[in-house]
Amino acid sequence: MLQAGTGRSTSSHPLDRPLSRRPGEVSLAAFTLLFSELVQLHQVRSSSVPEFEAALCDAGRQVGSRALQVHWIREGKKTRETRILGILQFLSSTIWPGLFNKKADSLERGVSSKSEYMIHDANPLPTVFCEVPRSLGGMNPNAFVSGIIQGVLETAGFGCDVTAHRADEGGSGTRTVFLVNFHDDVVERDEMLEG
Amino acid sequence: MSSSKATPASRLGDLAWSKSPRTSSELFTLTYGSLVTFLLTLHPPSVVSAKLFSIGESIGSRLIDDYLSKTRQLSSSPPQCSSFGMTAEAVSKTGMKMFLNATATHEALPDADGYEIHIKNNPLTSHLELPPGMPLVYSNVIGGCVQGCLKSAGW
Repeated sequence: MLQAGTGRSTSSHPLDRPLSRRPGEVSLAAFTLLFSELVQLHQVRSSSVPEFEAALCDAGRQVGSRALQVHWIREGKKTRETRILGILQFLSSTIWPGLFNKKADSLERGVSSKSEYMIHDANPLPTVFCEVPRSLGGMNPNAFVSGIIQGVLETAGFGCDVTAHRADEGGSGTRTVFLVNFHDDVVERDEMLEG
Repeated sequence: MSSSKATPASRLGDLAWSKSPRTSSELFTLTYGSLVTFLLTLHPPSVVSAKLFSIGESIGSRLIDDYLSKTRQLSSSPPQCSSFGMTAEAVSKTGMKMFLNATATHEALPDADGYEIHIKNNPLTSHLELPPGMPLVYSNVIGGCVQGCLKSAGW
């Protein structure tokens, strides 16, 4: 029988240890199998597709909230980001590569609404090996990544709702679009700051 | 006492790691943290430890295929685990390195038939602080994973 124990730790408190300049790496296999277990855990406990996606989104928010803090400190930022475009650019050009090893494909502002922004990614890393069975209908496992985005933005003070959508690229497969819908107070605040 | 001399198992681990597709260990750490946090909302810590072990067993039963296929691909004569000692070495030097990029050592237990594996830079606990006295074995998933792998491999 295998038993795991923490033993006696000789390291200092985690908050006292310096953050490494670059995050470490693990094998993709290890992460993918862990993510698969996370998804199965939530699938078993959910009774509908929206509930399943909401559970995955909540799991992602935990990740996003902490990812923001780690990357913020690592970049040596002394002041908070207060503009919508600023935080979205930090997310797509710093946090995204830090978590997924690549920048987000593009960041767009919504045409129809001032509160909508879209982040495009052809193949988000966590769901590279995910295949959704027909019985789950339109379930999108990228709800986890939506949660990460939402966690980052909410922790930075930008309340929003994020949803993941599949967009057909014609002949070259599909890509995923993360629709970020900022709350009204955030949009008003941003307009006030614009002057 | 850990040996600093490179053994075939550790060389294979380094080689397999160099060829592995990788991802950020922070994503891995935070995803695991999210999973443990969710389990703690449902069950007391001692039950969560057991759940993490069984999650690990499920991961291990699939990870062994990845381990076997990679080691056979990379080495013309991969180390045969014909004794439990060689198996412990394969787990600590090859397996921990190629999947977790962790340095691990193994020691025979003095008064039992088994081995202790010490993991030096466990990615799961890199930003972890547990409340004092909490009866949670946080990295129990690794124990379960090793058990799942070995069970599938016939040990």
